[in-house]
Amino acid sequence: MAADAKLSHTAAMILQAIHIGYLYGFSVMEQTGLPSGTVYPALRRLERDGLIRSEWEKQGIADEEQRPPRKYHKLTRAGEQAIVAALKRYPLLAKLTPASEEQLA
Amino acid sequence: MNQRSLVRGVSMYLVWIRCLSLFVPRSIRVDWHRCWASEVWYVYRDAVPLVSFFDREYWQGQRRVAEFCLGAIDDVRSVKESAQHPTRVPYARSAMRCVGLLAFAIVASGACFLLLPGERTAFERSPYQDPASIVLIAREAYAESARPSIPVEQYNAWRHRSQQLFSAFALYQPVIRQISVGEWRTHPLVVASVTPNFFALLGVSAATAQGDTHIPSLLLSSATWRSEFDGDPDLIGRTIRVGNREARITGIVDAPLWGLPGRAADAWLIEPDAGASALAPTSTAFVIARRATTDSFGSRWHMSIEDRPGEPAFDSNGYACIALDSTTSRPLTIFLMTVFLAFLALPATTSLPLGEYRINAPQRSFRSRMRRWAFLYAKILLTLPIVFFVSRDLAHLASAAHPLHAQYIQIVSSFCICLYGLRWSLRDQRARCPVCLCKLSHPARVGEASRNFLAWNGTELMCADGHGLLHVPELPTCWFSTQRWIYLDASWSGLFAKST
Repeated sequence: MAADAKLSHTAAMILQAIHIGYLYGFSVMEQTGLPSGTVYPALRRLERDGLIRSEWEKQGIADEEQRPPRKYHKLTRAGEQAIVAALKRYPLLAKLTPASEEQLA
Repeated sequence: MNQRSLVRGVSMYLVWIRCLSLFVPRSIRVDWHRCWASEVWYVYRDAVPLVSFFDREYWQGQRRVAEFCLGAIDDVRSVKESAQHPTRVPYARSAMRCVGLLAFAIVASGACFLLLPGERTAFERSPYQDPASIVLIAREAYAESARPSIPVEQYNAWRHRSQQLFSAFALYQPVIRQISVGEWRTHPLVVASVTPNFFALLGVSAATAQGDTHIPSLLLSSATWRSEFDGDPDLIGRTIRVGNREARITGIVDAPLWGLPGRAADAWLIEPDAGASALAPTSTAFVIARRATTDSFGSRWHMSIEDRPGEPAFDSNGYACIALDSTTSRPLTIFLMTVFLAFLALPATTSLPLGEYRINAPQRSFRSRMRRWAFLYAKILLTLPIVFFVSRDLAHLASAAHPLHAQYIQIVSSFCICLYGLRWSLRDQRARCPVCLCKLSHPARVGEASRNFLAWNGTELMCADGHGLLHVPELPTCWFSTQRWIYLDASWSGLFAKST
């Protein structure tokens, strides 16, 4: 998807959560208050459209801490452009996430 | 919470995730399950406190994990829907369908080409020994006609002259003769009467064992052996009637002879004597010769022969000597020439611009731009084999009626099909979205014909994905001579329901 494409409010919220550092699906859920049935499909769609990319944590790190590896997400360059446009469209989005002011500064 | 109780507590939810993963398409099932199983582990760790089984907080935590796991159902549904509609571009209008149809046309026309007898020789290696030194000799006026032009008496006169240029001559004369294929059954077949050194000159090993030297040997092609004699293994040595003569079958030849003009022979009748005395002296035949020298004369050269007393008069126009290996590459040469001519003629038949409106063009990625050009070149490249195969198929059909017409049919059909194919490639490209390469749809008439010189009048087509509009003028004017592609900006995207 091109960077100038419109994002729904939900997608923009998820993108913003990732943008400010909530990199895992569960942490995005907690931050946005959205249910898992909304967050995970949206993450998959955002990845398909090239706005975010995902990567699995290294197995060795997870093994050391006796926990399963996690899949974390990052914004692509197109995603960064999209979130700037989305914040203009949904100005309140910046207030929904505590770290937003710091990130946009 | 310790590790053991965590593993025990989360196992029930992992079974649920495992069951749901069975509904996920196989290609992403492993990743989907790994992702949800990992997340459930973290949700359980954070949500379910290490308290008594009867504590309220425990059940609140369990409820939270259960709600999380129920969300996996929505995710499965989303994954399945996206798998059922993986592409935005409908297949019927997509670039892949276009390429697929062209590939199918190549396979179909290529299969017809390969099934035609003698056509595949253009791509095969010559079975002859040193084919570059074998030449076909024909009267100059008949050099391109694929008709026998040398009288048998002239051939014999050459044979008896001392030769410097050629080391050996051979003759063959294809004629349709009735062959007895059963006790009371005859069938007309193309039988080539050949001199005894014919196969030796070509360098082809053929069984020519002769018992009675007065009876000519007959070699059958493997196709004739199977079709007319039902592949009878006891056929060798049998004497059958060929026209008004008897001949003994001495062998089967596997492959048809390569690059020889005239109709493809079903059988070869090996004359008992080198002079082919059984043939009428004035009847015409094809003559092949092997060059004695290794000097290069090119693929074709002219030869004059002076008359001598006591010999039949030779053609005053001279004779053409054509290298045998050049005759097989001729279809390819004709094809390349007609493709070149078609490219030259293309600008006269259609406009070359692809209708881009560069002033309004947003910055598209290098890959996207290259993809568009690659699609255009792929179409052109895929069209060329179709042109070759179809033109050869048509030429072969024409050669059944008249061998002389085959080349002309190939020239005309190859040029016409190639020109049409190139025109179609450009016109098809102009009717596609430059972004997704999807065929444009929803044509709409805009404007009025009476206002053609005052305002916009033409047809507007639209990319179904909302990438842009194509404006095609009804009548080219000085201010709107070619079609224009208008990119749509992001403000239009809401109309196409494609946003996330």
